Amino acid sequence: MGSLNKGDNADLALMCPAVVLSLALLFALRNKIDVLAAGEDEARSMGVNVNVVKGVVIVASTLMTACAVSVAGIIGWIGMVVPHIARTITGASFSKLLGSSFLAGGIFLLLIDDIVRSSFSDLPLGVLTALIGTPMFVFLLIHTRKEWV
Amino acid sequence: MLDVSNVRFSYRRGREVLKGVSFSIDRGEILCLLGSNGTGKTTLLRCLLGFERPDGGRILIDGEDVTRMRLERRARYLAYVPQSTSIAFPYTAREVVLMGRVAHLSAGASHTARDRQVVDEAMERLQIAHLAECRYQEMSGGERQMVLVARALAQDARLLVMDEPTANLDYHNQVKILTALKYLAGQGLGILMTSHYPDHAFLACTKAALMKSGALIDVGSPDDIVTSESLTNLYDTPVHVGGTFVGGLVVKTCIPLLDETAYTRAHAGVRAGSKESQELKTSLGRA
Repeated sequence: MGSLNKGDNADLALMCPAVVLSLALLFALRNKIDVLAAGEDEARSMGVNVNVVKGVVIVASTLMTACAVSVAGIIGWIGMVVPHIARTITGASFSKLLGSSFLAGGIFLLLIDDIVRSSFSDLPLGVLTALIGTPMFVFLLIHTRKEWV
Repeated sequence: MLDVSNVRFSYRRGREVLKGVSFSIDRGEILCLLGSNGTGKTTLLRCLLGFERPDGGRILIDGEDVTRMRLERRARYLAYVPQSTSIAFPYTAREVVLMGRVAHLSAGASHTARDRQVVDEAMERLQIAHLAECRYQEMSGGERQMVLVARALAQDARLLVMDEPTANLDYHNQVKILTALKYLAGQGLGILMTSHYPDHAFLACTKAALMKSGALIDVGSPDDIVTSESLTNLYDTPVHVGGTFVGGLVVKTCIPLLDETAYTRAHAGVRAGSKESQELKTSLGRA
């Protein structure tokens, strides 16, 4: 269920290029990703090639996730909950949201790791993130459902 | 500017939705597309905007074929104003209007000071600058529609394509939208809108087009072609077109009638040159 114990510098060096490249791709498309929120037809009418943007976003996010999972194992709920919390801080605009989710996700993971290390060191991180993440997700779902329609 | 000739389209083979549609719009013109539900108005707009590829015919804008344009280039000619749609996530009005600038950005670049200036100007022109920091999702239908018009304006296109811009709006907001459209046309934009209110053709439009089962029956000035006969035929419902004078000006209006008798009577009156209609004529002369 995930742990940061096994990762070392070699892993970091291996995943760094892929993660940086994916982040750069997403950052380059930040304004077009915003437009997708208006719906595909409207995005097209504003001059955005929807299929290309969708393809790049899927490939880039899959690549990043794969890197993280292959080093640290499955630590769920961070990607599910953190971006929505970050959105309440920086607003919906993707140019700010990308960076804020990235930082908030990292901070959240480190916090969880610290808690686990200083209490019951054998507990997989995924257990704690699920314990915290599930109620948070339900809370967000109820309170922001109107906004996601 | 926009030249549509003989456009044909079908979603499925053998069932033609557009059966050879031709019309044109110039700078400063507002064309109102009238027709009952399901006659292909929206399909026509979808063809113009490049969402669907017509099976035949040509759509030219300033002499260039719209269907062969790259998306970004087309966005600089044609801007789409949908019915007040919802947008996922809590964007502010300013951010929504800024989306319209996406076709003007070079790859990967941030919005420039010029982009922000265009956005501010668009919102000021439509008198919604005070809404800039409000969340789009929390706005009323009328405000949303104005934001979407501002977005199309920020796109800096030459022709606005609007799908029922006044649907679901109250009188105040209908008038606001129509006034905005007239103002924009006055500044040289071409506007194509669909509507279920023939009244709006009289109020704001320089041209009307009547569409029935996938073909245009008539295109021309609203005063000439929007008549009791043509609307009755268009909607298969008795409709009376009358005039009221307001401060020396005659304002035409359409009244759907619930039964045929009322229609025949109203009609006989107008044709015989009733007292009422003569009064209208003389007052028009005096004005």
